[in-house]
Amino acid sequence: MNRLIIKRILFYFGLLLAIAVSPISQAAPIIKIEIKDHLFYPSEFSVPANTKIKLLIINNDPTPEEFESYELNREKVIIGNSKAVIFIGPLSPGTYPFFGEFYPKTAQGKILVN
Amino acid sequence: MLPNAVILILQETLEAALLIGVLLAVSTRVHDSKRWLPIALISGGCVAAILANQMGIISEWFDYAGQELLNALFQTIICLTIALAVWLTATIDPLNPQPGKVAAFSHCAIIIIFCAVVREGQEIILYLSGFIYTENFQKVLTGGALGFSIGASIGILLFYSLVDHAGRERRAACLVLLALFAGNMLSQSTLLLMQIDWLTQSPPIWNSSTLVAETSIFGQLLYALVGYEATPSPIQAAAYILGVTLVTGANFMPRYYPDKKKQQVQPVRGNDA
Repeated sequence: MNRLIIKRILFYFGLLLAIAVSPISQAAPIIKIEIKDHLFYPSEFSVPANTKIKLLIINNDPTPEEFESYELNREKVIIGNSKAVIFIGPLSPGTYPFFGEFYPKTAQGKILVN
Repeated sequence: MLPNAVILILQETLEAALLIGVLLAVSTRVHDSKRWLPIALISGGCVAAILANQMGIISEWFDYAGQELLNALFQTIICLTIALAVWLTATIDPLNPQPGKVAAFSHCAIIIIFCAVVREGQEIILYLSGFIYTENFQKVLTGGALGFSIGASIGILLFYSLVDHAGRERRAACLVLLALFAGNMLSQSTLLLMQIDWLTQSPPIWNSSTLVAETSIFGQLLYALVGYEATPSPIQAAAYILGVTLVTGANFMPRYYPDKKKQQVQPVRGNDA
């Protein structure tokens, strides 16, 4: 009886995951951000509202940095001299600040959604 | 440099410290040896160092989704193992603990803490590695040690405040905390899958950032303790509820479906007597 219930729970859990995890082929506009001397370039840019955006972050510094934004609910470590991809949106109009968690005093930026 | 190091290391340490505090309180109840703690800490630390060293390669897996997939995997394992550990503790009789089940609980505790330490440890190592050849390294290390000590102290405080309470209260408190941890882990894993576009992002179901900002100390503590998010998406909320339900279900399942072997053994003993 116990096994049957566990099997059922696992089955529905798997089913839920299978439904939820659906890779999307739709191409998202790409925005390139570079990190140099613990600063973001560009540190401010606009994106259209209600659109999924692909952020391509290139870390030109030899040290790691963490892209973080509480407003965007995003967090990712980018190793020195490497690149990373983060998807954001669709977002409603507004200002979404982001920062480099390892160097928060200098690495600051914001995304303007309009 | 120093305040940032304190905050960053504290944030990373807090989650694992709170988990250790609760699991230690649970293990005291089931009379476990607690040998799992050093094993999980040492093995987790070693694997975290290896992963931090290889993070450049891992990040490129699956079209730059490797880091998120690995962390989401660890979080899902933590959630499911918490549910298994809770189910085990619910079936263990504290007055007469079955060695097999206590050992199984220890293995669960190793897996949970191992995954938590690997997840947070790799970020701490990567952060510190950025300063290793700079003049600020000493300051960052001092700040990091301070942040680590505060995080560890909060974990110890949680442990003693839990064991200070009577059996029933302690059990209820541990269950609530573990259920919230599990929900938090599953919710965070969906966030990572949205970050790599494996899950579709939808508008948040509420925005409580004006009430409790995630950047505030209270917001940070709530995040570490119950996985507080100011703007959660519906999938995140659903994952949170699923995690909480799994753990609470695992706790109450033995009551409604008691062990068959136990039931069968008892009448045989009665006939012998």
